[in-house]
Amino acid sequence: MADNKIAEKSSSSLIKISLIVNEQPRELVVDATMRLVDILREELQLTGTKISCGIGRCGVCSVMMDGKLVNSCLVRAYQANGKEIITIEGLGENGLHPIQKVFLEEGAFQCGYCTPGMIMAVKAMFDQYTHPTEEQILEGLSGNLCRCTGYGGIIRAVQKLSQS
Amino acid sequence: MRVLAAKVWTPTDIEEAWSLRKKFHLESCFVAGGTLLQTQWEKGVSYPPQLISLEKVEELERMNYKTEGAKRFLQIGSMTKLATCRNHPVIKEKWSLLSTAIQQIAAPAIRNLGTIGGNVVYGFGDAIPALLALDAEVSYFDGKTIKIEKLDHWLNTRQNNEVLLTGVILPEYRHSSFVTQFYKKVGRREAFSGSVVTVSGVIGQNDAGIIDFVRLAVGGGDNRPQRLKETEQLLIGQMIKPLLLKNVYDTILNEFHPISDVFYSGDYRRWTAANIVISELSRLEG
Amino acid sequence: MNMNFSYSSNLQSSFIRPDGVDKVTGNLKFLTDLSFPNMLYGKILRSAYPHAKIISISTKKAEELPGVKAVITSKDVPGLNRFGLIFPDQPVLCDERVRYVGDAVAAVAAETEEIAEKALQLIEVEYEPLPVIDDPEKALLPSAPRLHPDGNILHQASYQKGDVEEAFRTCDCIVEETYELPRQMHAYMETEGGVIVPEKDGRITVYVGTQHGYKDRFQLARILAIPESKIRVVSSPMGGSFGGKDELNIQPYGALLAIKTGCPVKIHQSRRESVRSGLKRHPMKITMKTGANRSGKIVAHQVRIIADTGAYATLGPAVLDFAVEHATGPYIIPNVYVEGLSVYTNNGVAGEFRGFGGNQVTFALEGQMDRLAVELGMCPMELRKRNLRKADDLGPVGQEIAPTDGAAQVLKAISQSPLLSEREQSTNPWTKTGVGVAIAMHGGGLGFGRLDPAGGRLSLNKDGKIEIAFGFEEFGQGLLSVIERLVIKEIGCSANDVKITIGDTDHVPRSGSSTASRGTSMVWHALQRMKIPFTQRLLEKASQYTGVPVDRLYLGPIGIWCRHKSDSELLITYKQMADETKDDPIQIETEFHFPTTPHSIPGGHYLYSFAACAAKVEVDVLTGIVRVKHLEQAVAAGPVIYPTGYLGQIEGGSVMALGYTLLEEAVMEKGKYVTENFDSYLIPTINDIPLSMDITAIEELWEGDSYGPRGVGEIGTVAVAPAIAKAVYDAIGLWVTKLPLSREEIVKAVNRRELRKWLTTK
Ligand SMILES: Cc1cc2nc3c(=O)[nH]c(=O)nc-3n(C[C@H](O)[C@H](O)[C@H](O)COP(=O)(O)OP(=O)(O)OC[C@H]3O[C@@H](n4cnc5c(N)ncnc54)[C@H](O)[C@@H]3O)c2cc1C
Ligand code: FES
Ligand code: FES
Repeated sequence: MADNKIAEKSSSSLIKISLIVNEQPRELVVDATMRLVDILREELQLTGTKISCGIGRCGVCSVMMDGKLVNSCLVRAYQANGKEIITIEGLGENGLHPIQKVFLEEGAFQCGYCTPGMIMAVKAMFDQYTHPTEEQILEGLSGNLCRCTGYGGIIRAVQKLSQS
Repeated sequence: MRVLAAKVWTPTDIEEAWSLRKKFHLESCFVAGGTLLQTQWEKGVSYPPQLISLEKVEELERMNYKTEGAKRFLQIGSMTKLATCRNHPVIKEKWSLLSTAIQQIAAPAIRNLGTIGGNVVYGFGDAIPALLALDAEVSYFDGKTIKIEKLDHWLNTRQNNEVLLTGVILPEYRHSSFVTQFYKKVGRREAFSGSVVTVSGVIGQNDAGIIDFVRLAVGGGDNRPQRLKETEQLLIGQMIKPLLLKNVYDTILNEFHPISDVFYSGDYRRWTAANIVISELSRLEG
Repeated sequence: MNMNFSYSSNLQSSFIRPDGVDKVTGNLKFLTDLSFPNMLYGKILRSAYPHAKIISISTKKAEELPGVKAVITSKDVPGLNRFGLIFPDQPVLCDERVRYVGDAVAAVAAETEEIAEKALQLIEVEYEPLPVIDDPEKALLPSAPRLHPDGNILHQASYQKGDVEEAFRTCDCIVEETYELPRQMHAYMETEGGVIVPEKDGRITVYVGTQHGYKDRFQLARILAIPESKIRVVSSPMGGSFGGKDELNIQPYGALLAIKTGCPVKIHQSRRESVRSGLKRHPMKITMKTGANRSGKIVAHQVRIIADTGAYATLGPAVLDFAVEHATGPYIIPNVYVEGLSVYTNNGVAGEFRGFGGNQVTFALEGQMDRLAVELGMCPMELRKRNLRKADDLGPVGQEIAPTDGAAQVLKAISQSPLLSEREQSTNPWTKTGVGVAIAMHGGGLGFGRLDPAGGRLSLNKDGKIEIAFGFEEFGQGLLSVIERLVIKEIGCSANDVKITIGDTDHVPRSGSSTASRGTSMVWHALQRMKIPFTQRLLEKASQYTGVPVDRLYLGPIGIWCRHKSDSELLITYKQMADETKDDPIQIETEFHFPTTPHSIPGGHYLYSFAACAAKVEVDVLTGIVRVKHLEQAVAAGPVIYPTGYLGQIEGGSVMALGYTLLEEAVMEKGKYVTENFDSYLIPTINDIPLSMDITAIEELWEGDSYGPRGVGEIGTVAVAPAIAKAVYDAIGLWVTKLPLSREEIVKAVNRRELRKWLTTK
């Protein structure tokens, strides 16, 4: 294979990426290895997505990418290129989403720092199962840490939504 | 690391990926989902200036359920996401042990990014004990052709990072009258933690209750997953009896010498591995 | 499995918290979410060694890196190069010596975080490593190097009553044990950070979370050598704190860099940086010797506490005092000797953490009670009952306290738990189940002799809102809801009429710190003081304008209402009243002190809350894994103000304590953290919690108690660990002395006890 083909496909550090964020097309020139979480928070000022561990171990940065839950601290710009992203800001655009409502009603948060990621994880779970079983709830939320609530309120909220 | 001082290459076929790797050699590494690598980068582990992403190599993401002669097997492309493997209907039906194992790797969001190939090349991945118990094979590209060999053999002989893993192959194994299988991962907490000890096994018994095949594998922590071959030898042709269990216990303690870390000692891992194997075998007591 | 998170009916509610909608939509701006034009990014260089002499620091290369705007070292600190809540002994930037891996040596402001990070690598620091003291007992050896001019003992505290030596001679039964408690990390999800902005008028605004904005302002003024009036601290909201953000963290560096560059500077620590520099719970080694007579009356109790306080003081002395005070808990023991030592080491810095020394000492105390009960062949509940304090007994260090029978209330409530009677055996041959109970007593407020002022302001603002202002912070505990609920209840208006102002030193009165379970209590006290004068003034004015006599008027939703014979009508809105009174606005302020004991016992508390916990565990004998299947808590802390918040504090506190018991330890080896992020420092996930929990709130106070609600921020964390430990004993006969509970020890114990039959097969 000719070297020039390789050159074509290499990205100098900066690349142009296009992605759809909360239904809006966006084009950005960023470093190819910039983390999606930083693109969202710093380039797009979507600070609803949080950052805490930076290694996929807490879930506060969870967003949907092409309909699947991912940790935005583990996704780099080149991986997000061409993808459709939904963040917490994209959830309740027409009033509160039912998940947001039950979170409010059942005390599913305190400080609220885990909440955007937790809500995205709950959404991903309900996208997969309309009435998640206990096992499905425990598996679905296993990657999202909450230090404040002890998860009681979160489980009450999910159970309520599942029954409705 | 928020931004890496590295170039990203996105080859679209295996040959191209390989030639990039050859060109940059030690200055490069393959990146699959990048989940394991991110954990290392964030710790400040150094990384090469050329990153070769395999995400655009479509042929690595295929899954084929095939028959060749009398052999029936499933080929899983190395870039198949862990989540896809976990939920795949054929895997759930025929190789549920793998699905069970993957369910205990990380959490759903990470399984949407991490790949089966990454887990295997990592060398300590939690899928490996299950794959060993299933007698899985791996396929890799050596620059010329795609080679296939037993995972067990490959793990013990491979040169680090010198290959491009193309897939994992699950053979349909011979059916005894009764087949029992298990996968137990003991993490530091109930879910979403690295493994302290992982034990997996597939055991077949004939109508008389005699064990006619058995594969046992252990891993966990910084211990390379391995088959428990002496224990397997001991079990073959036997019926489960209390005295045999006692011997199995001692044999496992003899052949499994895991290393310690600040959280758990090697002894704890040995005892636990032996206890789990025995508890599973004791269900088959005849 | 059957998930069920139940609670007593008084914890049911449907209020939506004032900050709720913004939190679930992601619209709420945490202070680490802020950005400003021309903002720079700051990074702090921490020590490479746990203990070393600094020979030289060269910042030249870092300064030359394009994009770097400022590099600071100790030379750039204009004022006192020290901080600390009790006394300032921690260098802002070290000049001669570093004493732990979190010590700051230099800091950088640059155009991007990446450049700042690169600049840190270019700062050349030459160290001469010194011997590392990684254990408090080593620090006490005469040969140990001195970490501070006065030696290695930060603080000593003791309490004595009667004569223990003499009393032990009369005991029929004595148990002695040493308990070891781990270094727990707060693990608030939002790491330390925020933005410091230099303002046009020469002031600076510090947008950084803390638990006491005024205290930060005081400490920062001292460091920056500028008057406090030139500093505005905006300290809310915060993504969790649990005590960990009470002390200064990144504020001084951000402020120094902002002043030096004239630009806003943002610092948001990575988790790794947070682990390295942040406070932790004090590891403690506690030896207790407790003696009783045959009838189960405890006659002597001797306690020695050694706390590893790490490199600097922060609140270490107060934590030790608290542990000493709570060493007898809710029990009345005639002969007591407690001594405590808080010792400097090169391990991290230990400071304030939810429970404040009570968790450690209660684990030991309740362990003693359970061991005594077994030795005496007595029901552990009965043993506790026989030694329990009565409502008007003195407090644990002989001080007068507000009479309370909370201890008896919670013990009685937990005795009725179905866990204690049902004894179903598990069907799995490899698991053993067990049940344990423990109780706890916890003081609120800072205690005698500590400046503990509180205050608030209530006004009708120009927009016609009833504005209530406190110098407290919201870090998730639900303070805003507490304030809103109380204002509605005490004033009679509706939620829409209320504006709450907190966490901004330019706009709030001094209220003291948002710590020590004092927030709810102080809001209630402040409102008790302000509501009558405020209501009276408002009604008088309303009467003047409307001509309706005051006795027919009352405050209600939207405005002031007039009572008729059978109904009432809205007479004048708050907005109208605000317009009418704009020349003479109605504003009431109050200042007071947290209630303390009249006895001059340093740190002695006056108000206490109580909890009892029952835990049911399943021990897997193959792996040593302990699973808490069910957990119940009964809490006596006075009236419930915000039910969801109360419940959340107890549930959340229970799970945090479960983590403390089963999982959590910030492991250090030779003064360096081994657990540097959430991959190795493990807190409970949703899979680790008991899937069935039940929380009961006991609201009834002792007759004549006029002190209202006590806070519940801490009490839910205290009784959990000893209850789980007892349940493990109940299951497999192993007495746990060390947390987090070791699976290895359990497997060994099981091996020894030959609970597995293949070990005994011949
Ligand atoms: C939060 C978190 C939790 C985790 N929990 C677990 C767990 O419970 N159990 C577990 O086993 N793992 C766990 N991991 C590790 C890791 O995510 C998985 O092992 C995953 O399968 C790795 O796949 P990846 O595609 O992300 O690999 P990458 O990170 O992309 O690569 C891993 C390594 O394999 C090499 N590599 C990848 N693909 C190929 C290929 N086709 N050919 C040659 N070399 C290749 C890479 O160069 C790299 O050295 C966890 C990771 C994270 C971040
Ligand atoms: S910040 Fe991404 S998982 Fe923690
Ligand atoms: S609400 Fe604070 S971490 Fe979940």
